[in-house]
Amino acid sequence: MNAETLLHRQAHPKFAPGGQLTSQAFMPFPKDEGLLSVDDGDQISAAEAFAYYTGVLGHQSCGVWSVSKAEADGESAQAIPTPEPDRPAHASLDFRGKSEKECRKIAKILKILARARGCQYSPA
Amino acid sequence: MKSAFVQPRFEGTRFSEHTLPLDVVKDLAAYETLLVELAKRLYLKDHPDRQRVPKGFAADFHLHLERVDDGSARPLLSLVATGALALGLGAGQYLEQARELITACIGAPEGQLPPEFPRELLVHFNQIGRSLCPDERMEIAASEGQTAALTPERRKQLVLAANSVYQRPIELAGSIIEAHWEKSSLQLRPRYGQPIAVPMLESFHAQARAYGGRPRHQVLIKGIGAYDSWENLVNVVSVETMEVQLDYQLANRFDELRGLVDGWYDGLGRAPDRERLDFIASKMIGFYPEKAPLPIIVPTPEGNLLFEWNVAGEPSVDLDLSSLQAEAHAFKADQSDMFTAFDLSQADGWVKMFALITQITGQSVA
Repeated sequence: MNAETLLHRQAHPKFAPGGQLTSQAFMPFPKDEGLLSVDDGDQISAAEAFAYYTGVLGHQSCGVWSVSKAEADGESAQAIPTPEPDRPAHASLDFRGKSEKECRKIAKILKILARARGCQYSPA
Repeated sequence: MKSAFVQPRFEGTRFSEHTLPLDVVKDLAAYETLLVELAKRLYLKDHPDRQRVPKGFAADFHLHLERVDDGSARPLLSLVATGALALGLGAGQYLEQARELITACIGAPEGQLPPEFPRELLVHFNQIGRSLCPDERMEIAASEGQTAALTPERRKQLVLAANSVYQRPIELAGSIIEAHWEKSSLQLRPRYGQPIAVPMLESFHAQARAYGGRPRHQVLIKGIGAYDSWENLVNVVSVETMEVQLDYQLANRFDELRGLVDGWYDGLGRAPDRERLDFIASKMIGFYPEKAPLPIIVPTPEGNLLFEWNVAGEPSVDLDLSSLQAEAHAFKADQSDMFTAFDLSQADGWVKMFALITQITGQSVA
């Protein structure tokens, strides 16, 4: 993983109604304790990440939106590898220790960056 | 005097209880109208010296719904004669001929209608069978033991055999572009398709004045539309009901959110409390500032709501449904933050929040 590495985030359909991405897609989930789940783009493509997330894990996603490691690090959401046994490309954006307000603000900036880059993969 | 005349069989899920929906009864009334009209034509054909049928011909005959038998629903229509005049004129035989000819017409292969059936009477099939749903049919036994089936598709074929359009029920939703008071009609912009003129009910005039030119409020119309053979809506023939749906996009979104159940986020995610959601909806629908763009509204896994606008400054409002406390955030032009809190359990909280939304979505934050 380097500064240009893209970190792929799966957007739940409820967080992008009508294809309009919201910052909620980049808000850490309470159970994740401040770690926002992403996939390391150096190890897995956006399409592969989508296929694994929806097909193997059985989760819902309406598309893959991505930020670079440099962008995430620059917003104090440091990208760190968090490989899992069956998901070696798994990584996280570290929101730990931040308040709700700070999380929302960072999530919005990540959304703006991801939106500017464009959806990296969406099912036909 | 009463005699069994015809017993159509209605097939489809609506008829599984062996009952007859009232809107189907209207179709049967239209059948009677065609029957009488056709009997008159047949009489005149047999009496070319006459310009019109004798006075009283068919006037004393009426079809009565005697009972509804099983299988699925088979209404027995009896011919009831209330006067002796028609009997003497022989109207009964022409009504029976008309019945057989209508049945033959319904049962004929496409493009091979009985030549003796007057083409101009096919327009009656705009009403006969109009209430039939796509999975339904009305069957009539022919005297030779065969059965003629009227389906929505067959009804369409019959009308279009002699007309450029056919009629069927329509539900149309759209915003009012303008109203013509003298013509008592509306120009409606449907959600899909081209603007179209719609007859306006007298009782709707006040609402047309109030909501004309305001595209966030739409009118739901139920009535009868005329369609060509390609299913293009040609015109709205008549309107039965008109209803305004305020802020329909917001209303639809809140309806979607009401449908969430716990576990909506891949087995996790708490559904928003419905009473609180209804409260928020009641404060926004009809009151959301028309100058402000509509927000994207999404649920949060904690059971709360996020409102977000894709405009400069990326404004958003996080709303805690349990406490009804809201916090707005936007980036100022210098990239610093603007945070403002609102108490939405209080009326002035909504006033202040709507004012701020109007301001920050209308311009970049100073």
